Amino acid sequence: MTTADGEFEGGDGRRWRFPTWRDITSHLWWPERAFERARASGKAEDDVRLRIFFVMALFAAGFVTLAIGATYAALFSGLNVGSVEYLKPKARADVVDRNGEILAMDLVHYGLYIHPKDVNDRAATRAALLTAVPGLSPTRLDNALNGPHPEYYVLGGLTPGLKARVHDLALPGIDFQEESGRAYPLGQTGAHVIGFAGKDGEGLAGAERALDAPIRNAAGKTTVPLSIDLRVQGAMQDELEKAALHFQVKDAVGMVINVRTGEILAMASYPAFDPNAVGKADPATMVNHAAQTVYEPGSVFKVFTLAMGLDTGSANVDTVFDVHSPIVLPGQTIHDYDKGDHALPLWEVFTHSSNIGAARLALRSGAANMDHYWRAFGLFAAAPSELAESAHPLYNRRLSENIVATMGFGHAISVSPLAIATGMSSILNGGLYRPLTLRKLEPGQAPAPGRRVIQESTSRTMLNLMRLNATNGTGRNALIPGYRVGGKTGTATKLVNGRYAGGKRNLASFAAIFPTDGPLDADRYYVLVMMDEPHEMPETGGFTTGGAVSAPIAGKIIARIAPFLGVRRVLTKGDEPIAGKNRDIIDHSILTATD
Amino acid sequence: MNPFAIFTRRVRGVRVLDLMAGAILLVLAVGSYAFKTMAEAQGAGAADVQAQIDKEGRRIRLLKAEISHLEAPARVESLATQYLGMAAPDVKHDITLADLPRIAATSEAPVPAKAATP
Repeated sequence: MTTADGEFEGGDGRRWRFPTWRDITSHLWWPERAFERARASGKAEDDVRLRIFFVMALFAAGFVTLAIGATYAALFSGLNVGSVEYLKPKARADVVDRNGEILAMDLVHYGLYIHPKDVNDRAATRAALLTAVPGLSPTRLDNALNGPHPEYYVLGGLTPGLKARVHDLALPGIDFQEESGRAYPLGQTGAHVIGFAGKDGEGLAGAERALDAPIRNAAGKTTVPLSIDLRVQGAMQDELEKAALHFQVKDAVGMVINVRTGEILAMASYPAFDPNAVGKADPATMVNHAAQTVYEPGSVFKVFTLAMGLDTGSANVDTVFDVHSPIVLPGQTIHDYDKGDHALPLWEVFTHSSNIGAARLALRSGAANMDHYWRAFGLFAAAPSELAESAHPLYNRRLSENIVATMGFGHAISVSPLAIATGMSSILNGGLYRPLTLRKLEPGQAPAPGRRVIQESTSRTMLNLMRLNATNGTGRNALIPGYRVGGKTGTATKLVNGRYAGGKRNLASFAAIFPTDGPLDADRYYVLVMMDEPHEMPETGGFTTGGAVSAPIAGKIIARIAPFLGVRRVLTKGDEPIAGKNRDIIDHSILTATD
Repeated sequence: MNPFAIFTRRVRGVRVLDLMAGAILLVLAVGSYAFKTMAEAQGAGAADVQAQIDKEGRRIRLLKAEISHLEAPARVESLATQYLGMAAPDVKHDITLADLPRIAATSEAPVPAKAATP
């Protein structure tokens, strides 16, 4: 409501009006007239003093802030120069074995650059550099000295010592730039499992690729420990390579695994390469046959067949199988090596490595069970490993009678050694399937829970059967007294151009486990040796079978690595192998051992 | 004494307060300069030490790599075999103290040394 003097009245009865120019200027000058107001009130001096004090305080605070800032900048700026190498995106952490031994590390190297315009005497510079730097390409050096480029990269990877040697030559026009390089001090030892990284700092193979993110994230902070035990790796690889050279094999594989934890303690593939010189390596040597190659494994697969047959109740160790005559199936006839056998109990099917017996057990178990158990053992898929190289198996998805019988003794399916090792670990560790790992489990750390695939009782029986096969079966050549070794041989005739080659072109394998006694959840070590196409040698009597070629290698490996693994020698039943083939005096109690 | 007199007292025509402010300003400027110079010197020294630490760190890493290379199982084994004729011990040579009497029993009795002739 508007009143007569231009004011408005609000709903609450209060009056107000629009501000005039006088009102506005009065408010603006109000602070400036404080002194007048103070004088009017008789306290003019106090007001001035307060103003001066307030301004001084502001200036002092400004000065103190500036002084602190300047001091901080002077003291602490530019001091983190030395740490920037770890901030580079390509930096990677040191990779060590389970005992802290270095397997891979970043090392600062130097690149050698030439600025030709600054070079006074090109001939003298050329001669001095060629003398001081081994491996320097004369052509590249000439291109650098005589080319049009203002700066030319001549050579990388100079060690600090070599850089100092060139630097001491005091040659004008020579420059160095830091470059980080990945070094593998062990050379070929563990090359496939350690792998390598590219120049951009990205892991390209092996653990370097498998654990790329953890290795990058740990750069400059800590090391990344692998499950590998360098002592075990060294001994295993040494025995494998000596044997591979001796038998002139095409390729070879060796693995050592703790079946309780699933840790890979050693993994080797022959031929090996030097990860420090990947560019010069033959690509064929860089294949990790343990994970990347699939093989028709042969009779080592009978471990899976018997585990299936026992676990389903299709048979027990004393169930007798007729092996007198071959099994005739559409398109193939299944034979045994002629040992004069007629009827064999299941344990002897295993120790004689009877193809007929294993095929009959597979048929008795049935296709549905084979499908279930083979999947449970991980045989129908790539091994679930951190290794990116883990290969997919080759097999016929239609489990016909023919395929079931043939798979029963390790043919009609090709799987990687890593997949075989993962599956067999589950049979020998109490029945729990868990992926094998390259990561170290700290002491006291529980392994992955695992998935139950067979009963504990089946696992115990399989350990006993493996032990019996080493004391009295085809695996006798792997027997190392005191280490309670068990194992299974495998001799797979190779498929060449779609037909089994026959003759001596075999994949000779041995899958060992030790010690076979003790609680099911105890540490127990699995050793796999595979020799691809070994040549005949006099000491094997001309045989190229798993028992003749690979079992002795596994034995030598076990003898060397057992002390590292803390396995003590304890002489037990069957440690002195029975001479010849007198099977009448087999110690049957091995089959019923309970721990 | 009135503490606020400092705002009005003059010395040779200049207010004491102004003199004090000037002195403080001078002290702050000189102090900042000195502190900055000292800090720069300290910083340079610290950077030198840091550079030395980095250099030593790199040398240590290089030495670690060399040790790792020199102690590589394959290299040690090759040298031991080639120059010392050594081999991995046979497992049967691994015995315990309890085995000693058994081994001693199968060994030949020691032959007494001949008496020295004068």
